[in-house]
Amino acid sequence: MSSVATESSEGLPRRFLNAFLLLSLQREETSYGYELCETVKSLGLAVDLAAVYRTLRIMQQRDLVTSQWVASATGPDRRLYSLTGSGSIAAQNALVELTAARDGLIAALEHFQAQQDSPV
Amino acid sequence: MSTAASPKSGALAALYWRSEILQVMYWLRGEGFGDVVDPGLIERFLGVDAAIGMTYLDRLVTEGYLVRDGDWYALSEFGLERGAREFHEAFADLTKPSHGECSDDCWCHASVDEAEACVAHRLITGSDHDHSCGHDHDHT
Repeated sequence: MSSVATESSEGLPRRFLNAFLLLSLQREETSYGYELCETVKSLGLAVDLAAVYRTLRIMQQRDLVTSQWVASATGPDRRLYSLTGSGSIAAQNALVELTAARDGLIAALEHFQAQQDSPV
Repeated sequence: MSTAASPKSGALAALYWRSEILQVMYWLRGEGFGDVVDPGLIERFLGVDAAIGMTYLDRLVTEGYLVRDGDWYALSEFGLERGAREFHEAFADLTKPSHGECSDDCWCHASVDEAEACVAHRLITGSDHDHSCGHDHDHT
């Protein structure tokens, strides 16, 4: 079980996890937990499998995500996740929020860079 | 953080944590991480303090769902069989509430009594975990 890695301190903030999971599920339509974790980590998010599991459980309670156990001929059953109708709306909202965060960061960076570039 | 007040229900809490622990173990098994957990991992996945989680892990050992080897707990054959059946059928509703959204310092993780009071409240009322609910707790 030691292979279940702990959260990294580097990368994008964990607060984007909800948005990344919603948008990943919207893109993939269905996905397994480990796949979702690998996807959001590959996008730069500093999370581990436990955080993904907990967030998916909360999203399921809030009817944003649904899941079913899928039988496998070669291994144990796996839990397959997909968005609900509410989840699809939440994914659209997440895209708006991420866009706003990006625009805000760009504006802030431009402000500070302009300060550094301006003559004293 | 204050001490817990009633309601307390050991039976309901045991039912809830049995489902939560078996479900996460079954989930990890499906994702290819094997059948073995320790209290620290249960804390990370379920948001319950490791010391409290261990009491429930030990209870599952007593009930035959898990086997213990030192600090590690593994699904027994009985636990595997029950997990497969329960998560496809009867436990769908009972597994909806989760401690996963609680912060690590949430009052309900402070003791077994606190956790039991919280679980009993949610199972009886059907409401989600509410930090400003009507419990006789100090939520600060």
